[in-house]
Amino acid sequence: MKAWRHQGAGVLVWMCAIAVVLPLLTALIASVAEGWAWPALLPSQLTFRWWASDALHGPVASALFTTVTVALCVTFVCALISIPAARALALSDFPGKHTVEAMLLLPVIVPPIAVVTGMQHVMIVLGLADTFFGVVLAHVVPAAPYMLRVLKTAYAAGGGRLEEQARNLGASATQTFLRVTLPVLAPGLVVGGTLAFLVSTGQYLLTFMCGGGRVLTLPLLLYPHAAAGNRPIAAVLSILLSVPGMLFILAAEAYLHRKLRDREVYFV
Amino acid sequence: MPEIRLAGVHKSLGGRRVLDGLDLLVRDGELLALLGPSGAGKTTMLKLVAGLLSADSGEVLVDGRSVSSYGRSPAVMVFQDYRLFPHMTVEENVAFGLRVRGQGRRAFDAARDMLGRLQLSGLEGRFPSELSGGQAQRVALARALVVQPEILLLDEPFANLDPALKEELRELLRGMRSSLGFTSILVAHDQRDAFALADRVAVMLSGRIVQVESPANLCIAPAGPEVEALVGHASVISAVAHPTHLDCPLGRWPAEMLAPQYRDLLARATASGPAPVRIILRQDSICVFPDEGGRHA
Repeated sequence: MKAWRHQGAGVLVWMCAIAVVLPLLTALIASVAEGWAWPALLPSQLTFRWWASDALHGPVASALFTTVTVALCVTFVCALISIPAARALALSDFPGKHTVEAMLLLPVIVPPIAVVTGMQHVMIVLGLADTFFGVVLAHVVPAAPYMLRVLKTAYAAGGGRLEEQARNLGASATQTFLRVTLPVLAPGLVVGGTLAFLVSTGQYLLTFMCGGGRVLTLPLLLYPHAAAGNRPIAAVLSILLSVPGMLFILAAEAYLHRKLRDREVYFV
Repeated sequence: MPEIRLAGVHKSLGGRRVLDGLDLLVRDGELLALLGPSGAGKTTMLKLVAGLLSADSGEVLVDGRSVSSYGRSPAVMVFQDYRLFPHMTVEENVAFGLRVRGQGRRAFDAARDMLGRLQLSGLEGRFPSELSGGQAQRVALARALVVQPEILLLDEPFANLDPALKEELRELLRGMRSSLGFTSILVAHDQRDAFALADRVAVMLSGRIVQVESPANLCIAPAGPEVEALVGHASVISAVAHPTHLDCPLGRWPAEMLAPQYRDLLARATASGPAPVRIILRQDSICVFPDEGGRHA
């Protein structure tokens, strides 16, 4: 019976892996396809000309750079606000705590399209519309809840107790944060940071509305080609868009694999 | 070595009154054991002395000064769950308190010395997840002792340890106490741990101290049925102590039968010759079996 369950679990894992890899594989094939129409399973010819297309010259490199830079800034800002917020939610009791927590997690539930107009208006009022910083702030809204959830779990599981011990041994608040809190939270920051980075790199609507087209990221380049049915170019841009996220995940996995001696202890 | 005084202390946590007008004096250099059932408020009291919590009302004084007036608490606490920092090695854990005090290189030398005294040499490079329960407990103790605290607070240090390890840790504590000298409060759930080490035992029920006595007097005269239920019933026998044995109505008992602290007491009591003593037979130290085939249990 146990063997059947193991095999069943293995089949499920393979199915999930295929579901994740298949779209990427399709994009990869489409990016080198010449004349690929239904009902053909595979293209009739392969070519690399789409990768050298004029449509990709000029803006792609800077758009990729902007996408990564925005995502890194978003990750940093998310960490800045999520660490104290997670600590307060995990360790403190205050009136309306559950309401505050629900509000902080709302962006995960409410789709960006429902709030993007209001967000654009706020950016205009603040003088941040069409600016890099405005786009970063806009991306923080959907990205921060993911990091907040991970860090809250880490704090609730034991972060507060270790801080208490450090303070009792004579450490100041700053020493406690730098020598104990940050290292203990580091794996959670990496996991939450990965999620925040991925959420940011994939943002289209928020970037378009709050960046006004002046902050050019890869999704803004990708969407017009996808909407126009230009599959090969859209496929190339999709693959390029996937690269930063995949590199980030690989780096995060390498760090976690090296650092985590005991997953229970690090609460990840 | 400081004196600790709690006067009229009230403390509520999560809407529940945990300490209810607690009064207690811990004399300088004394080891006071705090005995009580779960939820009596023992850990909360320790945290007040350590300065980790503030009393809602009343005073918590160390050498006449409020605990809150100390920039850095004179009390170091060893928690029941050890709380070793998982990202630091054993050596780094033990050196932590001295490093945050700016002692730099000396901190690691002192850490290695303390680890040696607690029979933990060779474990310096290990991480907490690689230690056994007994090793982790001793590392936590080493981390507390290396900063040479004036007050040592121990929250159920013998929990989760087997009897052999418990005795080993008790011996280590006795040795450390005599060499370093500090005032200490030991929270114990098991009265055997309290009686083995304490100069006096304070019984805590429902957030109040109901009795403070020497271990012997607590066994002989518990203040009420609740205390007796906690301490266990005891019988007292008069005996004459000699350097190598005890003569009592139950026969001659060699000194080797006694726990180490009582052997030391025997040696001191009989320095000038045989001395009258009292033997306290506690309920949990007596085992009775049927007599089978002429063999006596």
